[in-house]
Amino acid sequence: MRSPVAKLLGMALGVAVVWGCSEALSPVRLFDGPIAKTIDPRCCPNDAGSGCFCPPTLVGSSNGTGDTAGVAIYLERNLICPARLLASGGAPLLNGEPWPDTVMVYIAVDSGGEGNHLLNRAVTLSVTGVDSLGGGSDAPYGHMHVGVNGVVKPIGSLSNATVNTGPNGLITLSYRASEVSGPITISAQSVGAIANKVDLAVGVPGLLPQIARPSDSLIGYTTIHPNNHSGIPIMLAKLDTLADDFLGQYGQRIQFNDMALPLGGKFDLDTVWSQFGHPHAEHRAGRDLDARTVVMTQAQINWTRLRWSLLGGSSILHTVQPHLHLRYRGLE
Amino acid sequence: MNRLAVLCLALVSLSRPTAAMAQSAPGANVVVHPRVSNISVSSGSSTITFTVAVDAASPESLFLLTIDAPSPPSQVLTPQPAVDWLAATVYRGRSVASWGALTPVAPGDTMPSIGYSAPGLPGIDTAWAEGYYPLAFLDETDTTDTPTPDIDPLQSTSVQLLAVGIDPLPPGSTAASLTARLDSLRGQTCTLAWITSATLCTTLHGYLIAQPANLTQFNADLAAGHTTGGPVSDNAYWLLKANADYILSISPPPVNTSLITLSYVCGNKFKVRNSNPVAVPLTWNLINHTQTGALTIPAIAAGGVPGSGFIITQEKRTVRLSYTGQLIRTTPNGNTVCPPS
Repeated sequence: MRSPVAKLLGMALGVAVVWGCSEALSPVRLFDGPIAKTIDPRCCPNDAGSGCFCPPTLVGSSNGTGDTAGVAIYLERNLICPARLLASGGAPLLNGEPWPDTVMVYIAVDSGGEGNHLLNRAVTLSVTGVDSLGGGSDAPYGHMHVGVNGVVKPIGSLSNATVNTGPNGLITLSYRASEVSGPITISAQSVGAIANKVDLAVGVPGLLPQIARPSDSLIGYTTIHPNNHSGIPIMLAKLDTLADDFLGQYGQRIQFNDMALPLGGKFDLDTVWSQFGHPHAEHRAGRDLDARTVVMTQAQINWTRLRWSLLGGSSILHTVQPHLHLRYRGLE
Repeated sequence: MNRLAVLCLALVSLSRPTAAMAQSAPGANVVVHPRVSNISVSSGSSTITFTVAVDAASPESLFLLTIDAPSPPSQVLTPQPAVDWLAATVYRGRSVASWGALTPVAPGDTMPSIGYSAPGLPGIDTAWAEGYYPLAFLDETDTTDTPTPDIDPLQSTSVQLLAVGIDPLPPGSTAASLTARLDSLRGQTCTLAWITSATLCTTLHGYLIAQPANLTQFNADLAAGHTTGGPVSDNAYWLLKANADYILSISPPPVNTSLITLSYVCGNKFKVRNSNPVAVPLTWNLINHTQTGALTIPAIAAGGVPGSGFIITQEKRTVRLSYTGQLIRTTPNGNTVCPPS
């Protein structure tokens, strides 16, 4: 069974970069790493080879060839979370810490031949996203729409857009994701060198689709967000229990509306990237779901509130299209 | 002051000062009075039934009552119709007995009879009452990124109190160890003012530390105090009585020494008869002689024939028969010759 991370990586088109100690990667591009060790792409992943170092998830490439210099661009990892997940229960854990929404970016300009870093080279960087009605590499993320009325899809930001490799031939900067999930490309170019780029995915790892059961009705699909029921596994399990118990108590299905998009992040409803309107602020990390209450009696609402509490969650009432907003903030 | 009112005060004082309750978080302003109405113990399992009154002055209605259940419940009894109630045995992975009132019980009203069964004996456990409060409205403005906390209603929106629950039977329990546990429970009921007479508390303690413990009289005094206006509350009565009854049920019946006889037969032979319903271990010795012995005389048979056994002495002496070290019979040697067998 593939891990959620692996699944996510597989879904994000063009971002899964696989390294191997293959001679096909020659010529060797030596890359001074963040802790004064030499990063050799041939070592990756997992410090394969001897005497060299590679961060476990280092991705990127050095683009020089023959006698032509090229830009080298590497990332710590190619999957980061969207920003601003705190209100939604926070990011999943990576090695016991919240999965970051920021990634370190290493930039150099390598000579052709031996691939040594060239000093004091100016490099210009840019970030692009994909906003293609969900028909491109952004399809797995669940946003089947583009911005309207001049609203542009957020793409995050680099700490610096123009850098100089300086006397060490290496510069480190950071990229912070926006609150919207989606594929991102960071490009770098330098005069006299072959330009380069690296892809990464911005998304919440570990979310799984909610599977409809005889005890529930999954509602709320729209053409612009057709996949609105993704959550962390324990949230899904608790919702299954809630639905089964509701059916047992009342003989009817509970109606589950929006939870989170397939890769989480901002759930912008019908506002197409805008932060205003009804932004589903807590529906970003797969820990919140709206249970429809217009079809419930007050006793059924009370039952749902109590049962959800016993299962470890809490409830808030929403008066716009009345529903119980079910939160789970416990352990993953 | 009636017994219920006494219980009210005891429970309130355990949770927090009454004056402070109205200032508490939503849900933590309910004042309730759980009252045990019956406890039965059978085959090592207990069943408790309660009523729960909501104080007429309670600022909130009762929404959820939860009792810690260190012994996982085998059954939770809900009022009828069941569709108006939510019953549960697990709270966030913790073993409990829990009842939710889908129509919250208003101040001045009483929750109909509830109960649960579990392996073990009645004890005193933590309980929580959550008052009903309207849910907060969700403000989904998207301009802040403030963490939403992981709220545990038992800690943040409930009143904590103590109630009669069911605890696992301690491993290797004996009548003696359970009697010691009963005395501990007695002490707690006195501290909690579930028994309001210090004199009665002392008297009950005396029954339990006697050798052997006098559980029959313990129960009698308990019942005498369990009257309207009496010093023994329903909670104390049922808690202590159920435990005492269980100990009596596992203790051997008492031996009536008047039903044990010692008669001379012939030669140096004596016969012991026992009409008790249980076998009785006895010891004997001789006057002015060092010979001693022990024997266990069987219980009276189903047809009414006493159990019997014989003592053969080495010399022609008077036999003294004892039970648990106490002399119960003395019979001299009749100095007759046994007929040829």
